[in-house]
Amino acid sequence: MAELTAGIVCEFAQVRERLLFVSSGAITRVVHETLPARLGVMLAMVVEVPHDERDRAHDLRVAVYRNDTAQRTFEWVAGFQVTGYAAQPGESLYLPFVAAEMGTAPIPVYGGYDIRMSVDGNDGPLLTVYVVDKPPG
Amino acid sequence: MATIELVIHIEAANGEAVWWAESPEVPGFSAAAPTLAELRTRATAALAELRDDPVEIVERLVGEERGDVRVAETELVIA
Repeated sequence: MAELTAGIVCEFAQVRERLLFVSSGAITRVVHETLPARLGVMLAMVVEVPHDERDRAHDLRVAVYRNDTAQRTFEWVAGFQVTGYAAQPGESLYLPFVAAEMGTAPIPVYGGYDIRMSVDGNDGPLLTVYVVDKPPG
Repeated sequence: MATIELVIHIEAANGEAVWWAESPEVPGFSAAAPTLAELRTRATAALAELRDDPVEIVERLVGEERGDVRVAETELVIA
């Protein structure tokens, strides 16, 4: 079964030539002076695909939930399929993905926002980002 | 056992992601489900019934080629 082996909330990320570039990762706080706002951060992920599942399509999901009400405010769903990766016999594939669109998740109130991710219904790490007001001074 | 290609799509409808599939070998056939696993189960069962024989499915996701991976995305802003 495919697995999410890493999830990193970051300022910016991109995939180039199979490699994941992450800038300013492990974000847990986002400052917004006014609300409503957009989350404004990205999610970088690494998915492990077992050798025997490389020909199948896979279902990768990222959802943002308010952690005070459990209300889902945003979801990004992607399908992916390996087409030509030159793997060694039995080698699992480690595929990088970026959910840049997560930055558009609506932020109606200050507080914690849980980021849940899964591949083929198999949950990955649960991350929480706190959206806070600008500190006084 | 016949081998049938399942062409898989994803799109957003009514605030939810919907997976759907068609097959060039079975004109008029389509199946849809909220998850890819459910779609696979439904399509395999329906195609086996239509063919009156178990089928082996070969999947082809419709999406953008990004190096060695084909990707299709949809985004749902709920609130």
